[in-house]
Amino acid sequence: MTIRVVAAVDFGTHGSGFAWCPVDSVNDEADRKIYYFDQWQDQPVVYPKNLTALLLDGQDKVIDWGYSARRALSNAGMRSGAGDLRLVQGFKMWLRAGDTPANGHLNGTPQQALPLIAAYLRRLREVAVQHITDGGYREDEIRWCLTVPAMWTEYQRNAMRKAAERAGFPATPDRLLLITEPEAAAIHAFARTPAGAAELPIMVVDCGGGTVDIAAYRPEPGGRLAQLGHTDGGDLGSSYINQRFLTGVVKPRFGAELLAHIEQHAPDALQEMLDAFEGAKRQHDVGRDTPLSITIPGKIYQLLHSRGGLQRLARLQGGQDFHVLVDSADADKLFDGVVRPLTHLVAERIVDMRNLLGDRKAGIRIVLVGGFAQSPYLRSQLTAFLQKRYGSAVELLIPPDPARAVLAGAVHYTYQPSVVSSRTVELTYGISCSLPFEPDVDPARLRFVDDRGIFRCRDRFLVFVRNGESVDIDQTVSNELVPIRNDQSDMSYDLLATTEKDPRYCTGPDVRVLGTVKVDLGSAMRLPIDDRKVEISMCFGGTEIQVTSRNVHTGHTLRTALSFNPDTGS
Amino acid sequence: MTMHQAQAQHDGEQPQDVAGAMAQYLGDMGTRFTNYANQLHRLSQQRQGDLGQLRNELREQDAQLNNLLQLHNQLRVELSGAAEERHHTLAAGFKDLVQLKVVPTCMTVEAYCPSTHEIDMQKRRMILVRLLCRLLFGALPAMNSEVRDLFRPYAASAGPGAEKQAASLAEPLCAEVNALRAAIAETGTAFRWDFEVRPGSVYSPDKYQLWQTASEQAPIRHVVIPAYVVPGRPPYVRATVFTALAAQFGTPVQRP
Repeated sequence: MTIRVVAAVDFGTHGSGFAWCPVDSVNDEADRKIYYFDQWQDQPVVYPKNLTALLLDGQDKVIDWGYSARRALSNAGMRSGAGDLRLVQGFKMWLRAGDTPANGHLNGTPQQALPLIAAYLRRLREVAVQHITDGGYREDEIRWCLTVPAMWTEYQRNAMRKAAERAGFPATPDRLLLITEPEAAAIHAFARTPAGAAELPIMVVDCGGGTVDIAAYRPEPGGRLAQLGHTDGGDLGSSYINQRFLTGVVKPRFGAELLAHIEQHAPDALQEMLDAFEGAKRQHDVGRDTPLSITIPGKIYQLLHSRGGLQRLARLQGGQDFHVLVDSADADKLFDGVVRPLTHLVAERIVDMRNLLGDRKAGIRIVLVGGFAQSPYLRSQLTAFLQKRYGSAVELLIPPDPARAVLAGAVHYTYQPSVVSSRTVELTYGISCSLPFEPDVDPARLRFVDDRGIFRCRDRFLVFVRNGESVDIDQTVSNELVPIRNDQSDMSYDLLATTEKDPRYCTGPDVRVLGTVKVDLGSAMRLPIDDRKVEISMCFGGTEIQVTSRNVHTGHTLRTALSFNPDTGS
Repeated sequence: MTMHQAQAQHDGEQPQDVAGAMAQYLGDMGTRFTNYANQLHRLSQQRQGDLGQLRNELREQDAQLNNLLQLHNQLRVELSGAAEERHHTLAAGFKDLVQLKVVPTCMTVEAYCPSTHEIDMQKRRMILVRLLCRLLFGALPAMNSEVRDLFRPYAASAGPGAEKQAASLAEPLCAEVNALRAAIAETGTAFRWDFEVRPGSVYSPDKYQLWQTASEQAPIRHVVIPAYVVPGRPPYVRATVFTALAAQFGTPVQRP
């Protein structure tokens, strides 16, 4: 099927959207005409992202989504029986429940997240398909791309793919690509950089709602990008500032009881106030001398009035009751909880990048993207820090609309996936097998004799690619295995992953089993044992890893769908 | 001797004639096959030429179709491209400016007024915001003197110090609004801040935002904060409207 349209979906913690671009001779150039959809129902402001929220009933059935979910809850609040309804947000981050996020903000599990993500993506896909097909294209002519945080593990990426398939997106990897958010942002930044000015290595700092992802890329000849070193990041999204605003500012001003009442009875209005706080975040800067004023939505204002909360608010705010006021010092404290650790992360990453480049004074261009990149306070603090420590060697760039950089970059990538030439492997990957026994190294308890009469060591980790290695896109690493027993009619092995660079045994504490593969030896059984070869290949460099097992004699090939283990968060 | 030759001798025919006939026959067949092959080759070349021509036509039609689709998509108001991209940012800037500067400034100025009944205070706040928005976001650029004149009566009763303080709020506000106005003008697209509303129409949350103290049930009276409108597209920011003061506001307010 001819691909006539590429479309990217940015599924964010706070907001999600899609963009698309027709595949034609005009758009073959990097300066592509990308269309964004910005007409979401019930949105407060025209913007290419809808709210990542679902309204569920008592049986967890999805009633509405996006901003409409908030509106529907607000409307239902006026009727009886609305108590069963609940607005769910931030469920993307529930996939991280296997990890241990520093801010401990998860109130759901990966198992609970999957159907919610699928339900949300289904609605998003329906809108996207409607608008693309209205443009004269067919659904089967679309190649899709879904963005994922770079910090996500293979399991979490696989879970996103599964959720997308459940939502009706194509099941084949060539029709549904995955790309990490900082990589998409790097492609966008690279596409916008004028020719000749693109030689500097790029560090992308993607400050989203839930996480901050940092990744580095080196421009290569032919307008391509090669990943430089590992992806880094943390739970430093701007939503943690919102949480601190609620607990550290709103709670003392409104009173704990009244805030609890609002959370229970007017969650939509509370969300509206947090939207207003988002605006305030875009205004706060270093040295600001006037307080930030956050509009109190009418519903909360009238609730405060009827419960005597306005007098309390006015008393605490020097007579002002129309807004929540946050003075500069308090605002600085709210921001510093995220901005300081973020600055440290950037500094560490600059050191790593320079080590990898072999130049301790290498120039670096930092591209700040994501919704929180619009914060003048973050920009000022980061600029001041970079100038003080690195002078002009490190420059900070912020695209005109940093919140859309990921979406635009994902469209560019889907149009031309070869724009990325190589990626860094985040783990060591390999398989379990038996290898020749080394007396001074391997313990005797692992020693056994195979049917050729050779001493072998069981439980060895055969490394295919090492953590931190750079692999070209579609680079394949292969190894041939032969059976250890004459009567062995099949060969099975475990697919392994670990953070260790040189794992020796598959029983190491950090080694995770990603899946088990069994290959039938079939007619190869009539051959001498050393000719009963099975070739195992791992194709790296994509956002996911493809494993192929081939019986060399029969030619029978098994493409392996890795069954990730959610319990280990691997 | 082969079976065929033996059979031919028995029938009294000369073997040489048979061989000649066979050779003739095979020669004819060979010529015919060669002709067929040449004919097929010619046909194949012709078809390949046709196919190439059809492919070219298809490519041209594909390009034409792409151009038509491109034009079609450019006319679709629900899609936004690079031209609309700037308005997303500017509209968010407008919303932030109103929420974080315009309305709080009005609250500061209104607070100079003496103690009063709550209904009057809430109405005064709303009217001040409405009048200030008219001055700031009207057809002509905002002027400091007009804004100062608007603030003066509110601060007058609090003394000359208050009057001066209120007046000092005008300049930075006008400067910010005019900077936003200039940035919008730079986009090169038609644009307006829209104050239009049909008085008496039913309030709909799909079309408008409601002023903080207004009732959802009452009909619309007027626009307090204008909509951010780019002709041909839905409003980037919806207008904030006033209906009537919600029933609960009615207690006296004591000010220090």
